[in-house]
Amino acid sequence: MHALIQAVINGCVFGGIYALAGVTFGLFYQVSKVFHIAFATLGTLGTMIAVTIAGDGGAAAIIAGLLVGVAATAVATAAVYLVIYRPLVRRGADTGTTFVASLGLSLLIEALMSLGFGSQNRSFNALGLTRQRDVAGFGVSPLHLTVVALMVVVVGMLSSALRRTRVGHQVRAMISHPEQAELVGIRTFPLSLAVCAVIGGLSVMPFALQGLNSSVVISSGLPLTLFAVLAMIAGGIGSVWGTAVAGMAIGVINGLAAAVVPGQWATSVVFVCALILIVIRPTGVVRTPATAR
Amino acid sequence: MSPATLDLVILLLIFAIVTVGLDLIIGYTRIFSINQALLFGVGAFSYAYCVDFLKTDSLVVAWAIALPIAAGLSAAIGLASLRVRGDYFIVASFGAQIIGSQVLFNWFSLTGGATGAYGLPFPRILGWTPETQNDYVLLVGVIAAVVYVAVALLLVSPWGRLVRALGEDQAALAAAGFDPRRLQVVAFVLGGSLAALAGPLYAGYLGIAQIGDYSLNVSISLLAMVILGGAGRVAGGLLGAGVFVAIPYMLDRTSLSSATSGQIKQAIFGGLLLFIVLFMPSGVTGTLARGGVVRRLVRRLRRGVDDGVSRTAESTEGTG
Repeated sequence: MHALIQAVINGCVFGGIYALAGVTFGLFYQVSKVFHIAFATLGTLGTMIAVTIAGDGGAAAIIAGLLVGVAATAVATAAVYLVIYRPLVRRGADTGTTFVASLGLSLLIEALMSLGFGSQNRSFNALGLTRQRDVAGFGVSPLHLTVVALMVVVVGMLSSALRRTRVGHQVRAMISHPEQAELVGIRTFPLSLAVCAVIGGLSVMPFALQGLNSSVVISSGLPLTLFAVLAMIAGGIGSVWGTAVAGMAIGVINGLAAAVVPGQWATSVVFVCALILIVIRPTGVVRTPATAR
Repeated sequence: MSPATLDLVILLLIFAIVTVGLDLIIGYTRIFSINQALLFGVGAFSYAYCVDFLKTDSLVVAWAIALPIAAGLSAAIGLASLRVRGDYFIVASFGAQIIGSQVLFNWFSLTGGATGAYGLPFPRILGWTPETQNDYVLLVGVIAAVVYVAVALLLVSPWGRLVRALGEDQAALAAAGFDPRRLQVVAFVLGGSLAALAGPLYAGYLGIAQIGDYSLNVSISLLAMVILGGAGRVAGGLLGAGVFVAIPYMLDRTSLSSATSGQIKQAIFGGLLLFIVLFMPSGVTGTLARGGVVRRLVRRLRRGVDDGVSRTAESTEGTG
């Protein structure tokens, strides 16, 4: 029992990371209509810049590095949207075509990153954030708490910004009915560009947290993206909290599975659960009205 | 032909069978399949099973094992997910590929884990075993030709016309009394089975079946190739296979310094994908069918200007 609870605690850390990745991936997907597989590469790029600037420095260096990394990824994501995705979507390209564009971009950036930064793994000087402390008999590290708190704050802010602010309403209108949104005077082009930049910046977070938790590996993005996609779809596309809950669930199920079955089967267990969910609950974990899609 | 060229031709013909199957799925029914490599692997490891456990190198026996498994797997994925929404199909397809890869990886006695099942001979068909590369070209050439003719005939048949309509307008098809989901599942099963058909040919030719050749990354590359070749055209599948096999082959023959050559090749490959998608929007075959890249570029620029004008006109009409 003790081992299982510890597995749940560890799973929450990964779950928080998947939730953040799922929410940012999902928003980008809705705004751009692109299956942005290069999401992982751009997030890793920001993290790589951060870890390079931070070097062996302390908290100030890490924060400075992260700020630069976030800014760089925000600009890069907006540029990718402007130069590649938007022209393709306007031309009427289908999901498959934009997916291939994203794949090509991902391969290109990943290769350039390996050439520029070297292909060896890097790690942050994590300042003891990952050191486990004993809380009621269970090992909990400050990073555990940071991940979960950050996830709740970011998802909460995004969700309420989308629901309660004027810009949020405009973004939702743009996502569900782009043409009508333009008719009522919403300038969708600058708005979508700005949203892509913000989401791009936020998308560094899961990768940086993963880097703080273990190390920064250039080619590590795909598995995380896979779980992000799974969280987005299982949670219900368009539901921010649904995606976050699904992301947490994926992390916990993965953690529990790793404790119960041999480790190499853990991912399979997650996907089996997802397939069962698809069959019994086609609307996602949090029910959203059909009109909200 | 030199051994290296023969090698290229054989691989190209084998992958052409896999990509025409995938083209049937993506190009005509617009389902986004990411598990084609797994079904290809089902074929390859069925052959390994025949050689290691049944002590036979018969292609027909390998197909008799592989095809029902691949068809059953495809039917299960399709029936479970296509009844809801397209998005779910992606998860089911991703899931099948990942779970399948893990099963293969951990089924050590059959697949040899990371090392692979090796020592596989050229397969025997109807009492004849190919001895040389030339024989093998003949074998895969005949099979690929039969597959292409069959698919082409299928697509002009009444059923094929329904499948082609599926990609155009599902609502109209349903209104006419046909079940779009059933058509999708059948096309998905057929396309996936073609990958399983090619699997034994590939493993038999290489002499080894390794799980890395049937992984998620391969599925993604195959998908990219079919879209690049020009989804929805039978020749596109062939061209997609050509790109999939030939580009890495040519890059392998360039003299890039070994330390960074992998990354440079990857960068060129990625850049090429981007270029084709951006400047050859209907895939390579589509572009060839409509005229050269340059002509299309010029035409598009001109159309861009026209679009701008007509858009302005529309908005003036709208407000006025």
